[in-house]
Amino acid sequence: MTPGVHQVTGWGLVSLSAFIAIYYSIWVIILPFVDQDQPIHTFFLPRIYAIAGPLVAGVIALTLIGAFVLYVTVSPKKVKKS
Amino acid sequence: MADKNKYTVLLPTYEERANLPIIVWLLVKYLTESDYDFEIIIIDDGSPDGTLEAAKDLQRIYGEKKIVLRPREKKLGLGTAYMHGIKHATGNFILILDADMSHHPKFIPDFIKKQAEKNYDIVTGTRYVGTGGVYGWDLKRKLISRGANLITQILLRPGVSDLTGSFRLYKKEVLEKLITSCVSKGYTFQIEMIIRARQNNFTIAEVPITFVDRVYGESKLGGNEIVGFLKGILYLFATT
Repeated sequence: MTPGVHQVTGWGLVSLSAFIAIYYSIWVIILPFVDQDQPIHTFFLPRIYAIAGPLVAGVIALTLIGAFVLYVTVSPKKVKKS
Repeated sequence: MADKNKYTVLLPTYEERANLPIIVWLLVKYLTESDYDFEIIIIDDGSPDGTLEAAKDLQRIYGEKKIVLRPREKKLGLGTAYMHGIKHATGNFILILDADMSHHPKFIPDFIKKQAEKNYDIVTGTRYVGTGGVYGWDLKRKLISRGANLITQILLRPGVSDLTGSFRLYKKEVLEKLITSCVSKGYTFQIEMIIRARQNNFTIAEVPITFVDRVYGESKLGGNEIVGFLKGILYLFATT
């Protein structure tokens, strides 16, 4: 991997974060003040997902982190014993 | 520009036999060129690869006033290495950097000039601002480093852009005070130094540096270090 690829990845991450931030802000802050018959609502999921989405993402993230910590704490002992 | 300041470079080493002569040569070159008074204290923690022998040879070449040896018997950690080194330091400023040439001594005059601007207590090298950066890291390592700094920024709000860096200039009394109040180990140690400095209202400035992945030897970052780092950050978050 070259620094060029790193830069592209970096920009990719920034764009993704910006997209999520803008999407979420419009979804939760702007849309409630827009009439239900406006076409913009078709781009956004039902608002319940604005809560469910981050909640599930948070749970998955914590699970992965927990699994990583457990793996790192447990496996060196296995290596030492064998 | 010669002034009355003397700069002590603390170089804790462990298995750096190949890197040590080069880093010492570079230190001597840049510090002498800029006409600064300096000494280099090498704190070797009983390296099995003959680092201490290399250090003794260097002492013969550069003289005992410039190269001071303070070896220890075994690996006792960075914080205690600094404490051990400081006890015999005759400078009024302390420079710390990695002995594996990830930090290039050519930036040292920048540190010194920055410190003189407003008599800062601490000047720290940053990889994330201005012309700062890293070279030779793969994507995974870069993500880990950036991720770690991001977590630290969110949880601890330090007001400094690069906390895990260890290329720094301290006033001697500032370093002494901070080391006694730090409890962490590993990467978290460097972070805690900055956090404690903020608590004590010390002034901190930053200088962009380029971190180059080490030339010889094995790097010491693994899953263990990451978990240790997370624990350390949570501890600091909870207690400061």
